[in-house]
Amino acid sequence: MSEEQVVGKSMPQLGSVEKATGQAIYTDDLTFDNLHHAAILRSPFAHARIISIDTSAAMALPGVKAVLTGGEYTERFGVLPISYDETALAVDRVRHVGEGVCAVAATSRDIARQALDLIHVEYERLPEYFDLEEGCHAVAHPIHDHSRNGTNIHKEVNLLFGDMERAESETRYWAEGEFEFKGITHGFLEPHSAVAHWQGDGELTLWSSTQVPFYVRRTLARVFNLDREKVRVIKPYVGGGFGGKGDTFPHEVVVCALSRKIGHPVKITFSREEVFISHHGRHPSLIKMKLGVDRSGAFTGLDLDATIDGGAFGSFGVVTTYYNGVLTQGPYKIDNFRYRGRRVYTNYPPSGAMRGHGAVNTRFVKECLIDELAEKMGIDPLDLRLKNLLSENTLTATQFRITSNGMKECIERVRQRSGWDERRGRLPHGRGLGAAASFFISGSALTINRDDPQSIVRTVMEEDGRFTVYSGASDIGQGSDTVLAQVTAEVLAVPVDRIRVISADTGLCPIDIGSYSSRVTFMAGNAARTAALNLKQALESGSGIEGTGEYISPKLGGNYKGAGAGLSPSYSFCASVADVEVSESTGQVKVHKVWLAHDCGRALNPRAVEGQIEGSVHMGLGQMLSEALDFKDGVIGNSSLLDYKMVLSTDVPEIEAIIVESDDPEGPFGAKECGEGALHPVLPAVANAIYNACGVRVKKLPVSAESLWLALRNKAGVKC
Amino acid sequence: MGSRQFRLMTPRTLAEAISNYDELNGDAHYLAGGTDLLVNMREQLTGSDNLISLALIDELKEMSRFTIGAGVTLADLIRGAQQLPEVIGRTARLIAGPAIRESATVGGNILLTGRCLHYNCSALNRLSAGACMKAEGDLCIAVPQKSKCYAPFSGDLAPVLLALGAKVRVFGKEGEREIGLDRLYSGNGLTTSTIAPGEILTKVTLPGDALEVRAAYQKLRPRSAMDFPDAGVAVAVTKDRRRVRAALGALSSAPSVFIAESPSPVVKEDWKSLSDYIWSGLAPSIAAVRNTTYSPSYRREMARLFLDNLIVEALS
Repeated sequence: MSEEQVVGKSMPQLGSVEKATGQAIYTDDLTFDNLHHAAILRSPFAHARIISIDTSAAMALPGVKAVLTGGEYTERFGVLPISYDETALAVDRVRHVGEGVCAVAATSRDIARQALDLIHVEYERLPEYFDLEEGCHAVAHPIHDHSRNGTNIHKEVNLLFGDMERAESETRYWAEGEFEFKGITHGFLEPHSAVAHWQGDGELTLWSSTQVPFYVRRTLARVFNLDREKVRVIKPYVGGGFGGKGDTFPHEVVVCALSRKIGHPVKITFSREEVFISHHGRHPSLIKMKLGVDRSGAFTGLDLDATIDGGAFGSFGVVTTYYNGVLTQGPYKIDNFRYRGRRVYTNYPPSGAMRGHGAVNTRFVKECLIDELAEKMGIDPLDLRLKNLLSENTLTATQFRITSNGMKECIERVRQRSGWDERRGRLPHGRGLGAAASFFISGSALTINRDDPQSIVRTVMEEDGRFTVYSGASDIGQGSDTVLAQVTAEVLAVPVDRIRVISADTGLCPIDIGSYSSRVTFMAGNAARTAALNLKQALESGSGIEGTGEYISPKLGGNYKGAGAGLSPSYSFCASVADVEVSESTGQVKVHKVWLAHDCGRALNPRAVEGQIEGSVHMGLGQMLSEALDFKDGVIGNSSLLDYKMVLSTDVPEIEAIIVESDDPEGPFGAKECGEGALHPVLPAVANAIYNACGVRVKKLPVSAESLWLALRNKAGVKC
Repeated sequence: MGSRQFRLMTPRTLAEAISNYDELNGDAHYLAGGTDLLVNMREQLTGSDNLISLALIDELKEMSRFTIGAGVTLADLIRGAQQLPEVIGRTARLIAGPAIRESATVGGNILLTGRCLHYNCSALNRLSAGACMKAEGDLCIAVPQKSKCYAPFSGDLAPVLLALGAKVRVFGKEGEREIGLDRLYSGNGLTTSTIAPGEILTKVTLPGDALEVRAAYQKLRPRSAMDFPDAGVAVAVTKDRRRVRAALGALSSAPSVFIAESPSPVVKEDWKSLSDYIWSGLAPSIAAVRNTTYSPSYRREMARLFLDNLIVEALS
């Protein structure tokens, strides 16, 4: 498998020099003649009826060109057709603090913002719902009319595989617990930004910092009742997304509507606070779980109950609700599995997809329970995991098709590299090692909109002998353009600098449905490989100078309701060991080192894979130790990067990134995902290491120094 | 958060700066590094949009063995720290991050306005959750039953300078005066300092024995950079070990200092009784409420722990 000349070799990502030297053009850098600026008036109330809006004083302010209110565009939209519940601006009712109520276009950003102060909105307060338990019962004013039986439940999922009674009878030990997770944000540095230009001939162009230009195009066409061909969405350089730019967002519709009104380009760039309000971050969750093991150490059953806080709108939430269940079982063979999950609307800003989508929290619980079971059984936690692994080429209880599987090697590599067998249990008091394992989809096998193909790539030989790859895939910093160039260069047997990639422009590129669900290397990579092969054949036969490739997932899955959720043509596998030190006097956790082995099938660009692993460790440590959205009565109290405690470079431990290559039979050159799966085991590895260090089981995330200090005091019998 | 229209004046002397202040009838802010003021301006927390820059006044940037100009940046303080007590450079490195330290000044850190989660927040947040008395409102949100502002003084340098026995010079219409640093603070979260409107903090002066004391500072914060202190403790022991000065920061609206003097040199074995004694002197000054990252009880407990640690370290 290592005959290749380009793939498998580390190279700087395309665009690295432009980014490092400040030449890369991001959306906010774009400027146009007659560019106008938008600002959005946001609701101060979490739940209220809009009685009246008076925009006359704002319109009279010199420089103000247009004011937009919710009633002007009432078409609902969302990323999932089953939950179209957002509008460009609030229509009649606001459902969270910060929801857009009016928007202004003006000749400068300052004037637009000044105009917001001149808009008078009269509200009638409604009961506010922040409690998940309360939302599961009928309430006086449900947040949405479409939730069932007068509750605030957005989605319920009940799944049963195997026989839980049989699991009960076979179980020697159970480990169970209730865990609580706060909401977190993605933490990308570039705020959301969009520029719209509605030209006189009915052609709409939107430049946006997005992960999903083709979904944005679809939404804009729907809201403005345009043919999709009339809408062009272009993604400039993006400064990170991690799921937080994976929907169409209301501001993208707002700038289009304002541009339509004034006939000039309109731009908006969010403040950091607006990012916190609009981000669609990870769902706050309450998770109950029970995991059993028989006398031989085989897992007997998994019983999972998850209640997740959807905030005010749907976003990816239906998928999240399923993922909390079906992505929890792997990487282990568990035949008896029950999942009860529900997503509850609340009057918080909406939750959505974030790196590791849907299964980070449930994975945390399960991997902590495995640690408990190993202790109860008196066996090594890694040995217990090894005993229960799914094999290659098998089906899970949920009918997921597992093909390549490097799980065993991942565990063995982190075990060996961390000195697990020699060091664990022999470290000084306060120092500990912990481990965890995980799996993740390598792209969702089903498209959200059934009429969309997953990925098409068109590659053309230019007059100067270079090649241009046209792909809708969105490089959001993860390096997908580079992967497309590498794959194409490899097939055509030319140096990679002969390849130019034009991507993520719906006016120029064939469709790729976007950078989410860790799908791009696998799906766009396969499409690029096929395109290059077809081009090669055309050149060799003299029949043409271009080749097109398409990726379509094989038909997969069972026939139960929801069987499509979690289906993937391939799965990545990952294991991690963390070495931590806990100060008993302060509760502070110092993470000394994290070893993380990830089976990415084949590392097309090893440096990029290592970068994804390091980024995953960083992000995982944040959710574990310090990051949390701090709400009070629906208001985010820490909507700045000073008060929201992302892990700083000074606190990042040594990271050993270990690449495991299982050579996936369907991945391009054997590759599968590495962008999200590597996040999963970081949190429970640290939690298990904390237990190993000081005997405290972490059941609420994040675990701050103060909360661990309190737990240590309680454990020692000291009254606090 | 938005940009603001503002007027900027750029005096070259202290007298000119005060004259500018008078011309504006006091409707102005002095601007040094701006790392706090400009953020607050954008969040609409400052009343005036008139700024008088102190950047061109050279005498504010002078530094010698026993004086530090108020306009010295924290980065320059670190770069010139070899001539100063070591604890000053070490403490400066604990403040913010390298980029901010290139702008932030010694004077700004000493005169840092009280910080509070209910005050240092956005206009939308204040509109929605209610504004406190330090912003546009009437009450303290952290302690609604009290008509007092509990924003803690969150500078890091002040506790260290108090432990070293520093004084400060203040320039006003009547010329320059010197006061003990402990007299600079009002204890009022709304106003922080006692210097009169229009007066300018010009420099810090250190006592003659500052280079001979053993001093150290420890701060509590969630992360190892960027964050303001949730508690700060400084301890300085004189060379003859007969005097120990200890100071607290971030636990009330003013830093506090307590001096323990002993007829005979204190020894390491005495650390516990010494620490208990000093704590008994400092603890009454603590007025921590729930308005920073950590709870008041944790902040207090950690301050107590840090005091023990620092005394042991100083006596070792």
